Amino acid sequence: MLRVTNIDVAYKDVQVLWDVTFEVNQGEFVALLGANGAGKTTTLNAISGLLKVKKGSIEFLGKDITQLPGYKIAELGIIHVPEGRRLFPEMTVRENLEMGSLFPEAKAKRKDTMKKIFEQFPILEEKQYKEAGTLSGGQQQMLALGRGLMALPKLLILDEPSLGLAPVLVTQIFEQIKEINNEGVTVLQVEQNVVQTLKMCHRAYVLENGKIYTQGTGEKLLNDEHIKQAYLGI
Amino acid sequence: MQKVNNKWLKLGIEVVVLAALFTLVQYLITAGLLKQYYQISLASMCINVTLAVSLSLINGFTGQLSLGHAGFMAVGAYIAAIMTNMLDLPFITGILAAMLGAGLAGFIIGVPTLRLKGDYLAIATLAFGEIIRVTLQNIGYVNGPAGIMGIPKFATWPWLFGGAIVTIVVIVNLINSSYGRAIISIREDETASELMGINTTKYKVLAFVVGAGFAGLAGALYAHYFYIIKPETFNFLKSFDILVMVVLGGLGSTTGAIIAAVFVTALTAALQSFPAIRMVLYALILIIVMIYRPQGLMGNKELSLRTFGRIWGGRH
Ligand SMILES: Nc1ncnc2c1ncn2[C@@H]1O[C@H](COP(=O)(O)OP(=O)(O)OP(=O)(O)O)[C@@H](O)[C@H]1O
Ligand SMILES: [Mg+2]
Repeated sequence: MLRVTNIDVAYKDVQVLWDVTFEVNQGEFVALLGANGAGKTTTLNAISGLLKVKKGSIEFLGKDITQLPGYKIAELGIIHVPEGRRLFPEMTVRENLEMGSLFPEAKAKRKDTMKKIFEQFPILEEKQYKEAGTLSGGQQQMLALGRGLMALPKLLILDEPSLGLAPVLVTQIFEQIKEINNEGVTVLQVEQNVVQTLKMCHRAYVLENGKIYTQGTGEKLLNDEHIKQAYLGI
Repeated sequence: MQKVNNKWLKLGIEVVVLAALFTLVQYLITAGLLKQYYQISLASMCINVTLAVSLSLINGFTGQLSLGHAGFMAVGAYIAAIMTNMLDLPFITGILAAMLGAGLAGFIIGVPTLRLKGDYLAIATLAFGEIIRVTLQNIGYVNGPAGIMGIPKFATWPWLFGGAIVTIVVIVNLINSSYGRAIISIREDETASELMGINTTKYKVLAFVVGAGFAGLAGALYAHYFYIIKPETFNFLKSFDILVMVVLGGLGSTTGAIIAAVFVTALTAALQSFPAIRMVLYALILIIVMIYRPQGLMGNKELSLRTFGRIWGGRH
């Protein structure tokens, strides 16, 4: 579904990604793991068109999207919930959700999708007329996820959805993401919560210093000696 | 049903109030009851409201810093003056040409700079304002620094009032449309709006061109009310004046921009004989507002009948 081939990405002269190659298949839940500064966010930003790649190509559903601007990539069904949530703080919760469904197809189903999201995150319904900026961190994360879902994504890209959440909330958000995936949405997720993520995802890639170090099923990586040492402290 | 009724009631009250205001002033002018000084103040208010509301679309709602609004006003003023004064065309033709010309100038500046994030627009518009001024000073056809004189005084009260109202109606409707939602989302978080599928460059350019076009309208009205235009009138300080109105009124509030434009114009008129004090007072007001009300008079809220209702009803 998504095929990233040998991409190099640089900020001005400083290169941070080298020859990154990976793919995500239809219906999969793929995780992208790595230490701080490994290049995870950079990789996601390159996919969603926020950054231009220096070399290599990105294909989505057989279409080359390497040179497309961000808004056109979103139109194709890649919805990126960025690091740090990035809500529209002075718009209400409801308005934020509406902003997620601007494309004709999503707009036509806006009411139904919103109803579903309210069922999944009742707190959002309760706070629908409050400004997004007044929500707690966890509630904001749910809203960011909800806003992404409003677009009826084909591929949902999540950058550290658990960032800054209490452990019980992390588990709750992860379960909800798993459920979204079970309903047929393909998920590509960046995470710091390595163990929980590996237990939940189908496959994972590990980025180290801007290069793909290894990949495999969650189960395989959980038993990998290097991963255990570097990320799990065992 | 209730909601619909309220909407029409609100619109009805607004129309009645504005019509009454318009008729009252028109009557006072025709009856010769309004001193020259007040007439000039009212004209300046209409022109400044047009300028402030159009700039607030760019700076307040889209969140793009433009420092060259006087430049677009100059483009409009000169185009309109050339149309009526030199080519003997009707005023309305001059106005439309002024708006188109200023909008086109906005397009030419906006497309290359608004594609980029950051303060490129601020730098480009600052330079644009100066380039326009210096260029006009060096064009013989428009008399260089001396400017154009004896422009027909077409901008009567109906034109001035109508110009301000049309500006407000168009811009408020734009902001309340789905386009407006996209425009505001860019101010709130440009990256997020791009990720939601919004063509951010398109909407930024749209807002900028509309804002510049209405600055052109203000220029046309100015030229045909004060009947003299000089390049120096449209210098950076003029752009700064307009910016002060928008900031005072609150970024992202049309009513705030209107109130601030009226207030600043009244203050300027009252202090006409003391230009030095005026600048000091200006700076002082700005500092006080920034300390005690950094979001401006209205923040990003609009003054509406409901606000009055709340105040009268004592509910918060
Ligand atoms: N805007 C930028 N300009 C210059 N360098 C940047 C920029 N953003 C990131 N970098 C650099 O690129 C490298 C990768 O950053 P990136 O944000 O992709 O890491 P990450 O894996 O997402 O880390 P984290 O887990 O901390 O979010 C880092 O060395 C960082 O310093
Ligand atoms: Mg990151």
